[in-house]
Amino acid sequence: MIFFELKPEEKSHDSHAENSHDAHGDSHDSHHGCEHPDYALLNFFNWKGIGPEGGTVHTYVEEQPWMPSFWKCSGPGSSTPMGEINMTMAFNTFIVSGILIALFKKGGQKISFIPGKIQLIAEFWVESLTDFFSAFGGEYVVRKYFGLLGAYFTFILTLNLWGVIPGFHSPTADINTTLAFAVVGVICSLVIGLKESGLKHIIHHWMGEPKPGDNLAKAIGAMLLLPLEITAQFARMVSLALRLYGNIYGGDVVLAVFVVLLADLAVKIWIPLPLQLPVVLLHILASVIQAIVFTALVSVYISGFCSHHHDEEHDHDN
Amino acid sequence: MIFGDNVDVNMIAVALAFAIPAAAAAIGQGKAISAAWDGMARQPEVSDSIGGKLIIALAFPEALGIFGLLLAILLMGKIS
Repeated sequence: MIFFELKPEEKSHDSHAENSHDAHGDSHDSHHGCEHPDYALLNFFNWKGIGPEGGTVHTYVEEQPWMPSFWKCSGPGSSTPMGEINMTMAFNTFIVSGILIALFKKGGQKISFIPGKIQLIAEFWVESLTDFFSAFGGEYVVRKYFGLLGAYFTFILTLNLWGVIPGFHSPTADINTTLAFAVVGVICSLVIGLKESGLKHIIHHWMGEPKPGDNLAKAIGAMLLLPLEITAQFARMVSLALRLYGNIYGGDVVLAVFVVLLADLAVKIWIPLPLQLPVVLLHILASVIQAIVFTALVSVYISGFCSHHHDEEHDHDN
Repeated sequence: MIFGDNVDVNMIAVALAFAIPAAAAAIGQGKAISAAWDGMARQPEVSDSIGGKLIIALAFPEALGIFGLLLAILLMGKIS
């Protein structure tokens, strides 16, 4: 969730510091200097005069006194030896992964025949996820690689819903997070395919599975289909990343716009109404669906590499 | 200027960048949903399997619509 507050007056930028005595007249222009895309839409609405008179919309992550100091850099990111990273998203990711690791570690710590509460929840979660994703990737793949798929679903779902809690941000509303997930997913599917079917079967599959004597089909497959399939792996990464990122980020922006518009209404009629609640519910629905879609697509990719091997094994058995 | 003095006409491009992919994605998703629900009405016993696959199939038009939204947001950042 993108957070902001409505203030009667904005702190003027450095260039405006000299003529701060007429700040009331001039400070309205100063927030155009912020070029981060997070602020573009909010500033646009304020610029149009929507919003309370003289109000300025800006994120307040850097202004919260209770936040640790390394969390205070929101927006463009802070520079590290590895490049610029968004510390807000990184810190939120660490919190979520810490909570999940602690929860599931406790769930699997003392496995007893008569399960405790947390073990019961964990077992229910694992069992229902296995049943659900078996429809997409096949029971063999989902049971064997549940460590990857279940972790994807649980982690992405929690990260998506994390932004609904006031005070926190969804780390999946950052392209870096989702791109990392997507790259890891596609590379894992390739590695699993190499392990299960072998390089020869994958190349054969990518060439359109030509018959052994058919040299023409083999040549066409090698020249046309093989480059296409190799490009498709990169397209998979990009589309997985952008789908998740776009849904969560778009939902955040829509939510922010609704809150801005309704804050104007609330100021006018002096009654704060949570009229953005339907949008929040829609965002929660989209979060769940996107987590399902991401995991199901990764399981489909994995089973696409494993199916060949399995069909052959089946044929041999018969 | 019909949009007021401060607004760039380029904003129309931003609006179209969101609206056209959204409309196209809506048409595509409508076709998919219609076909899937026809199938479910014909054969209610496979509706679970169809419903699961429908969600996956809906993700692809959805992604194209979302690309339009992202493009619109990026363009808006450039313009304003």
